[in-house]
Amino acid sequence: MSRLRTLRSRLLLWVSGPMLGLWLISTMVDHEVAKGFVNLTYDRALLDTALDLGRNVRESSDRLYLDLPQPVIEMLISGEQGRFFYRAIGPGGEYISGDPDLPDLPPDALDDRVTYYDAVYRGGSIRAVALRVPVRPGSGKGAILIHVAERGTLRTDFARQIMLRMMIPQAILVLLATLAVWFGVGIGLRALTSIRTEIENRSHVDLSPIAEAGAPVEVRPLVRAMNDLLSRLSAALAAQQRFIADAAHQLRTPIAALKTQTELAARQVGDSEAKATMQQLHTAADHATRLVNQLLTMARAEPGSHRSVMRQPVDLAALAREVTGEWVPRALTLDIDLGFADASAPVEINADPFLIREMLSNLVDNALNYTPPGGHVTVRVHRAGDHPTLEVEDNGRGIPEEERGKVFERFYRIPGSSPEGCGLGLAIVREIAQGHRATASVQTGAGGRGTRIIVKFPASPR
Amino acid sequence: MRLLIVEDHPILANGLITALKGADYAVDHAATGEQADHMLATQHYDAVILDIGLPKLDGYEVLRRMRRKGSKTPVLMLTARDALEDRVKGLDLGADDYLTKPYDLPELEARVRALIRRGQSGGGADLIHGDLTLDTAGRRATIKDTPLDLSARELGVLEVLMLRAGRVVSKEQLAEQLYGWGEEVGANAIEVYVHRLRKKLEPAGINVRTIRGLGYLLEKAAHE
Repeated sequence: MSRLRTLRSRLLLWVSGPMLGLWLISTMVDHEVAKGFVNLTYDRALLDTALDLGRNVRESSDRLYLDLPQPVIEMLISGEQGRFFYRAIGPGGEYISGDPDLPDLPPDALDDRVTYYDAVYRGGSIRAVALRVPVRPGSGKGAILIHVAERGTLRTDFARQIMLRMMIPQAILVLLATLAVWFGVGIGLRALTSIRTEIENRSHVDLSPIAEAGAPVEVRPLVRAMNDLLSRLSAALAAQQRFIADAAHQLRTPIAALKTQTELAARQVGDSEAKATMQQLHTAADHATRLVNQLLTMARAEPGSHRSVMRQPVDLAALAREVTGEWVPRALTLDIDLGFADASAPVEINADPFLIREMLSNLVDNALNYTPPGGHVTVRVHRAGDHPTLEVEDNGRGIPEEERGKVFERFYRIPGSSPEGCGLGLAIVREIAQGHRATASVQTGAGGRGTRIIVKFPASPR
Repeated sequence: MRLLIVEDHPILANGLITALKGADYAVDHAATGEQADHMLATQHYDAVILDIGLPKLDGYEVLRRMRRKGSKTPVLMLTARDALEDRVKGLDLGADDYLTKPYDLPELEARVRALIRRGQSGGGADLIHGDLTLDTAGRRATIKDTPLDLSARELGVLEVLMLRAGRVVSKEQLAEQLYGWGEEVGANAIEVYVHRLRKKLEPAGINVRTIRGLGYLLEKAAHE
């Protein structure tokens, strides 16, 4: 069965198999037809010979004999060895001339003037004709019976040759048809390419139906089934996203209560040990806040979210400048120099501005968390060739080479890192990047220090 | 100063009441939309802190009814949702400010202060940043009542910086503002004005920070 994995080999088998069978049958039919015509022609020649012999029957005083001219003798005897045989028998059954033991007419033969029959003679099949020639027409002296026979191989050889000559062009025809199927399948399947391209080019968060219009009629049921699956998938994912989003929303109010109360408590207890405890509680509440916000972002960035189709032209440089500006106050409280470097010209991408903003925020937040006071964080937007590119670079402690593959995983935290992050920031970055067909990667920062995270968008015309 | 807090979560409401009472406000609390609607109809408040997610009568509806009755009381909306559409809806309905849960208490307190100040001055002619005061109507700036010698353009730059104190102001924004006042200025000129302004503010301990690639930022005053 493994040979039939491709549509092409299946079609090939089902087209060329029957054609091969037809070819064999047609060859057999050809053979029969050829045999028929060959018999007709050869029988005619055999009869001519018999008639020739009949014309040369002579009558002497006491007996009948054959006066054969030299050419006839030569044809009968010295021709091709053992091909022809003859015998003449008188009206009374007396032997006149020829091969005496040549097989007689079959017993059921009619008493016709000319009778053809097949027999076996000297270890081979023969074809013979029996001709009755009156001794003297109207004399009532009866008739001489002349048999002329020839080897059957002559005819079968000829018929076989005819058959072979017809087989070859037919075999070529079968071969050509097979080739036509082989290439035809390829050309026919090209109609599926447009569907393939559409599926290949869509982002993993795009669960919208595949366009049915471009598909061949035969393939439409398949497209429909896929669309049905996509819609069920997207409904299931949407339900899941809604749950996460609702849960995150619901968590916000109790966390707000927790934060408010711990803040108040810290004020009330004055400078005591309890104050430190309260501040730690407050910090824990802040972490919960971050986690809730990131879960919400994650829910929005994932497939099935209604946001996944909200694409519009966005100036990446302007957006990055704005978001970086929003993070400057936080950077200042951490004593980190947060700056921006851009390509002065707008760098346009087709994107969901809300998600790109979240991605940038997570990148900057992440960089600030891993950079010590006095450090630098730089956001950069430029074109790498045709690729709009976003970079966030810090001169913090960097990410070890062996950890780089894992930092984009959910809830992964670099061993020994501060408890600030919850391990979702870069997972969100990757999720959003993938949703925009962009790639996110980690490099070492300038001068071999720190980290540079690069988000490269798909190539777009300038 | 009298405030109304509309919040259905009892512990959060309790925290807010305690905090704002501690800041010498008279604070009333409503746990439902209906209650809030009734209290707003019968009492006068200087500001309202309004949660959106209330049972039955939600925050949007309370706000809509307030504004329909012609109330100009400033409203700070609190929400567990942060989607842009929700924010825009709140502001469209006539909210004055918007805060997403969970927030930092000092931030909420600052917003309430700003809200009340805005409500009182009806637009606010004076910008205050620590010891620095800018009289936007009289076009003059003072540090501890000592007038600062500023050109009209420097004053323009200072006003934009003070309006957005603690946040980044780009050169483009500064240039646009000056252009709005009938001046045509380039990026280089902006650098010169900021440089001069910085020198004049330095003695008062007020810092105009340069933010790489982004613009300038008037650093937060120690006690705002």
